[in-house]
Amino acid sequence: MKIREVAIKKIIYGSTGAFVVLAFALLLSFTFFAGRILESSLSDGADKLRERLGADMAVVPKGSEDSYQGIILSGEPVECSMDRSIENNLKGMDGVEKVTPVIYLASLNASCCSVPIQIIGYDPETDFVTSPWISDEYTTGEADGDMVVGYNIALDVEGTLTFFGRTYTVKARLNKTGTAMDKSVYVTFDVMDILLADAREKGVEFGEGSSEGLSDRYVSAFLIRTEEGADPDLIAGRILRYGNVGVVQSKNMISSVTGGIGFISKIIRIITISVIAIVVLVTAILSMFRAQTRRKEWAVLRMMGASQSWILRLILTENLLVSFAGAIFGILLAALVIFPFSRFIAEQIELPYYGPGGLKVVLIALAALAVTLVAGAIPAIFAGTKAAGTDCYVLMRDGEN
Amino acid sequence: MKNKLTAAVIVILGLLVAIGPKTIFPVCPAGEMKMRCFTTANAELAVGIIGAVIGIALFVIKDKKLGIMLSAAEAVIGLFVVLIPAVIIGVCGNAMMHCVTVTRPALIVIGIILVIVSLINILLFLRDISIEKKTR
Amino acid sequence: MAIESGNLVKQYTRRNRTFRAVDDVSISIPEGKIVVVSGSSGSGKSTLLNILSGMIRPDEGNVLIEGKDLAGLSVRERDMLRGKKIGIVPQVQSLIGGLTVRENIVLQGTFSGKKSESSSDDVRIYAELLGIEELLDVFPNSLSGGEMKRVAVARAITGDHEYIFADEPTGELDPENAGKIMDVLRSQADSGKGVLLITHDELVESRADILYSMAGGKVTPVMTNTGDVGDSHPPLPLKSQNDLLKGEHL
Repeated sequence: MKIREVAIKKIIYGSTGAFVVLAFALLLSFTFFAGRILESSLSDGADKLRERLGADMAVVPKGSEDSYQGIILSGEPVECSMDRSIENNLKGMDGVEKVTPVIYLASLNASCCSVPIQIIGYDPETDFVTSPWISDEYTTGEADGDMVVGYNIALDVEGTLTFFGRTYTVKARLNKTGTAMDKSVYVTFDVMDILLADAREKGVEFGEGSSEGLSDRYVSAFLIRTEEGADPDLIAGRILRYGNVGVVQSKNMISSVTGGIGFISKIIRIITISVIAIVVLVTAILSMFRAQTRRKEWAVLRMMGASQSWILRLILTENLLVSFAGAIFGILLAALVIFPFSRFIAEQIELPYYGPGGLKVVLIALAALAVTLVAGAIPAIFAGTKAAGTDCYVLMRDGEN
Repeated sequence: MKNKLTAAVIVILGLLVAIGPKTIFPVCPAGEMKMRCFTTANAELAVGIIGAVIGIALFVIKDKKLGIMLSAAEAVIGLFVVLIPAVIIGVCGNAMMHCVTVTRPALIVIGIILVIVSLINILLFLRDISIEKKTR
Repeated sequence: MAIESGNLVKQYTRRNRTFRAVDDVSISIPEGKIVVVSGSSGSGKSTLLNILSGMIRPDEGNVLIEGKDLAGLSVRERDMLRGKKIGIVPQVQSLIGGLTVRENIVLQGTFSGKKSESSSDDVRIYAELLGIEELLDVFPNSLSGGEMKRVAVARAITGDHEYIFADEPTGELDPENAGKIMDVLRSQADSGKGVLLITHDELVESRADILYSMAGGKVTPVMTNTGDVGDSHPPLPLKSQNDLLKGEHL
């Protein structure tokens, strides 16, 4: 009989403690796979975020700095307004290359199902942040339409959206970004004027005065690109002197995101290494114990002519088969949990989250498999060596030797 | 012994399916419109209870062939748990609704685990039958 | 060809006292004969069997299996030689759980280099001879002690070795089955195998071609009646066999 045949029969019908080894292998591969997928998704999300932030800083109404970060990261809809008049001052500042105004509006109700959606208005003449994404990242498109929607936005049956009682056509849908952009809707200022007028009728506060040409006078924020080599902190300081405004620098937002990611990555790594250590330890203890209690079996095999390496290979095969099965189950289970829940996880941790593509998933799965097999093989080698060295005295009745 | 363990797991999963969509990972609250996710929750309540009852039966029975048939039935239940929110009835269209981000994935995951545990149960019963054949 | 040994010594230390389980023993197991070493428990018989099969190394003396000195072989070579040449029936229950009786028997073939095609026929034949053919697809844990012993004998025989060693071959067996085993062992010897039996059963002693008595580690040859049907050699005086091994003596 081949070693593999014997190993399989022993695993199924014998009492090899295979179940426990399998459970621990499952735990290890689950932890490793889930951990790596999480880490990869977070770091890819951060990269996408970096791409998204075309601007170096944003000028917002004083007190709205935290809400602005929310737009990018968590997607909590934001509304704020400030006088547009400082726009020219900003444009004329040293070190400022481009300035473009944006308007943020939160919808009350978007057609079906009650979740407010972020509407972002941009000025097509000066915009340098949103347009690149819209022009490069079309996925579907009609020639004309009022709105560009983020990846996760669901449309009405006719392919329209209704805000504040009025229906708008949808021009295109953005590719997935893994940020709150996926939950937002983008319009030009003229469409935004219509929305603002309707919104104000429903009681939303934005700016003062008549709704006619509102966006000429009031915006929510200015997005600024600084010149190459200019000192952003210096510029930010100058802007703050205007009073009544706040400045959010992209580099700070990114670093807070990477800080958060770094923290979570560290935790994932600590957990993974702990699990590896525990699994190896427990498997080792169990394997050594079983090697000891099965010593009569080893003695019989030696008596029949099995070499020490044969016995070692048998134990190794038993462990590897079981570890392999456990690894596969663990990976499948982890995939079951992570992939369907990825959107939920992204919302909960409030960090950009961009799941890995098929190839990367396969590589991570293979890595999880390899780690689990090695973790199973090491204790098996120790236990197998011990088993192979069993004395034949075990075969003699007590009292004879 | 292993069969009792799997049977207990099946009961727990069945209960989760039954009450989960109403409590732990709830669907959208019933507004003016009766949304699809509400219907899904009700369907899962029924399916989950049936699943839990089969699980209790699996815990109690001794006949192995019967166990295999019940486990197969449970696997079908698990399939329904997955298909109801995914295909048959569905949930809300808006990708940001709770029923989409939490409830549907939860049901899909639980359903798949239910199918897997049921299949494992069948394997365990087959092994027991095989051992019985080889025992005098 | 034979298994030969000279001046074997094996001593143990127990409770600060040293005693010799095997004390200057030289016996040989020739092909085609049933050699029986008889003695009560504790006389060192099992230790002697283990030394002759290469499972234990003696403190002094040497063992030659068909001319090969075991002392010159590595552990691996000894294991493989034993697997090929000697089928062993130990005193204690020795079947492997999780494998059926048939699988236990066939497993021996893995180490004796037996081809699997001829295996299944032989398994059936020997199983019928030993009355265990109904048990072939059963797990060992549902067998009685006597049945397990018969399976162990079948295993040792099916391996098609040149020698068969058995420690208490008739242990736990009723007279009828004990007789069956001795018949099978007899026919094995008649077909040219060397058989070594360790026992304190008189039935076994009575079927010996060559009989030794062992006590306190020492072996004494006993003259046996080997006039069974089919035996064409007159019994050799055992003393001269030993002298041949000792060489320089005489």
